[in-house]
Amino acid sequence: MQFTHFIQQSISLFAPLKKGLAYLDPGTGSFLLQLLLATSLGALFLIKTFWKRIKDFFRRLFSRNKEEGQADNVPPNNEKQ
Amino acid sequence: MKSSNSLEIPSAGSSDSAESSSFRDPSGFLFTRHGSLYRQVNQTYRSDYDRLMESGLYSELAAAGRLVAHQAVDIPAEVPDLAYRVIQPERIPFISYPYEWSFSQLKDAALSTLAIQKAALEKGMSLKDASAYNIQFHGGRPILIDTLSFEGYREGEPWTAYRQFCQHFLAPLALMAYVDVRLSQLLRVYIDGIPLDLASKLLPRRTRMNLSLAAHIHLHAATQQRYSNKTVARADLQRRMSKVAFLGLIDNLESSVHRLSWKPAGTEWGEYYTDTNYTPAALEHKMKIVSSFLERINPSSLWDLGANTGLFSRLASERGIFTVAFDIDPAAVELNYRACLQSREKNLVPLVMDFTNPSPSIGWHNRERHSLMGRAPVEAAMALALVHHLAISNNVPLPHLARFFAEITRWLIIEFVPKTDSQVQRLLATRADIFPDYQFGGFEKAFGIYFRIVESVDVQDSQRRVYLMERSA
Repeated sequence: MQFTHFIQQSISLFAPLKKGLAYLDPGTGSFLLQLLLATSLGALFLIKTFWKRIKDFFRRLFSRNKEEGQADNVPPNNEKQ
Repeated sequence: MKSSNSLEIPSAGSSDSAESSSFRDPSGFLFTRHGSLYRQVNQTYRSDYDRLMESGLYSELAAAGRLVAHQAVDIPAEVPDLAYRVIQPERIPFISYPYEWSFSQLKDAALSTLAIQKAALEKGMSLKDASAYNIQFHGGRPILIDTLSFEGYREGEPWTAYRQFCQHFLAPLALMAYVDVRLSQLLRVYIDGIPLDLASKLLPRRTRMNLSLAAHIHLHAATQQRYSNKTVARADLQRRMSKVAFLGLIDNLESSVHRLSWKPAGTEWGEYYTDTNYTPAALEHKMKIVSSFLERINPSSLWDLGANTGLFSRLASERGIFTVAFDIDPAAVELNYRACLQSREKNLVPLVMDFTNPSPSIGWHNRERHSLMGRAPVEAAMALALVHHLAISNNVPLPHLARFFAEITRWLIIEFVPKTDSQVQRLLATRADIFPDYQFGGFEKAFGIYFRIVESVDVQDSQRRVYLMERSA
């Protein structure tokens, strides 16, 4: 998911909520608790996702460097002979 | 496993019965006809069912072994007025319940539910329930058996099943991890999961320092209590929750479950399984006897009663026999399940069961969840090193024991452990011996009422004898 997409989704949605056909009662307290937790859990999730991306980026960068480094260390075929 | 709450109760018709656990959700219901299990999908669920099938979610989950596979079948519906389709799900050989699972089984069922929810969200759908009873162990892993659990995800809506997930999974797992693993048995009392105020009261204070448990259990319980008798403004109930927050909730629940752990070591039973009085020769001979009996009867399914960590159960499951390995000790069942995972065993389901008080029928009409006896009979049963526990520790007269086994199985592989055996002597050490019939003759006489003794072999290097019996016609 793109960052802008995340931001778009993070912005409060103002259209009224339609009642689904759910057969379970979510429970008033449970329902409101989710809304209470929503902002912080959403923010945590964003941070986690982007932190993972940053880590992956450096990991890839590092492994590429390492590969290149290894390639540099490989002696040319003629030297082996 | 749930279904029609419409006024039309699926009638007997040409079917044998509508599944009694399947009544809550109006999306459809399970029924059996001529011994085969079917699920009616109702018109009200049409668009969700089509989306499940057409979005690729069904094929993705079924291929990954996370959702039970099914086939659309062309047979008359059970309640034609409501019906959209009839499907035939792959049959699960043994239905088990969360109060019969070890810690890791419940944890894996929870993680599987969340993994399914994440996959569903990627395809624009969401789980409308998160019942632990919708998960079964099949082919060595947890699988969702309710095809009708999915609904289209409506952007902005909180997770309807959040409370159910906390009650069915998070609360029992936290109690098992932080207080005592035996608290899983609370699920037997509270069929819709452990009430969060109870879980909050039972959990130690330090769990309030754990952010996830503080939020999903303690704060959750407090919020439920606060709003239990309050009228909430309509506007509050129409507030929306972004998809990122929704994903954040699922992600947070997932890491909360991941962090909960329980180790079988250090329990009071910890040493029990190394403390047998078998010499290596006796153990080897007993395995040989059991193997030869299994080879002779070659059943398609077997229950091993008192299976410990499943050493003898594997003699059956490794021959391709579908085996349920019951034991009273949650530590043994946990070790057994972990061994199954490690060697990717597909034919073995370890479960917690106390045979002095096996699972009863519970729920609405006492018919929602079946008793152990309601899930019998099985083609073959094994009871090795079990009879003395039931007959002496629990005072069950031998003819009663024989009747019990005759009700659950046709073939019986059973070990008799006489009073001269050190294990029985240990049981009798602190009590009066009121068991004059507890000897080989009395045992054979009692079981002879219901069974024909096909063969019996003395276990070398021990006082014990293993019998192969067949129930009399």
